[in-house]
Amino acid sequence: MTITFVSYAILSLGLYFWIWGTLPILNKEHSIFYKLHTLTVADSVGSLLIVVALFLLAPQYWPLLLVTAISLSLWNTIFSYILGNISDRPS
Amino acid sequence: MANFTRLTLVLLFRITCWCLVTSSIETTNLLTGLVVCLLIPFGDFRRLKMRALIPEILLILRLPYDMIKECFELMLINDPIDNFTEEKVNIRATSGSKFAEFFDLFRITFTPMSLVTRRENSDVWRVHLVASASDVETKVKSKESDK
Repeated sequence: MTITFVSYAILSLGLYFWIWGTLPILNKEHSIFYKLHTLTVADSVGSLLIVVALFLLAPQYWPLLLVTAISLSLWNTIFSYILGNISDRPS
Repeated sequence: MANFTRLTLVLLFRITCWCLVTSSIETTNLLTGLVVCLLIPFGDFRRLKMRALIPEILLILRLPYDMIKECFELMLINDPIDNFTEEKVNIRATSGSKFAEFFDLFRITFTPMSLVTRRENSDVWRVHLVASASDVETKVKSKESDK
């Protein structure tokens, strides 16, 4: 019961991070760099919290969830670096 | 002996990845994984610098705490402005280990408040940070009043 409550709390926090991190993309006043920072909140932190919540709900799938967490972390970080690098090139 | 240790660690890493992807530790699966791991070329494992790599991997364990903390810091900034700074490349990353270099970049970029945009030179990363416009203005005013 407690684990279910904790996992849903973490899942909600992850979803909140997802929404908060994704909405600034629509704001034209923000720079591409700020958008990359907020996308880190959504893609990396939000997604990882959702994965942690899923682990608490279904621990038997831990190997697949661990692979998902590692892949998400690597993909999001490298993609942020590539986009940041392209945006910061001197014209 | 050192090379044997390196080879064993590479093999262990590969087999761990195999077991995670297949999500099975049955004997047949382990043997299949071992054959696959041995068939993949090992590359130049002799150049693997464990002394540079292990501390970098241990530093990654601190990331979940920093990650959540910086999320809330970023959320509290209402008037964001771009702030580029230079950050020194970790001493272990400059010792010639490509993996240590990658982990150094990973640690900075993974947290929401900092983002590596490029490498200025062999010793310095160019890092983008988010600053609050009102905080920067307050700092400038206090500097001017000090003068």
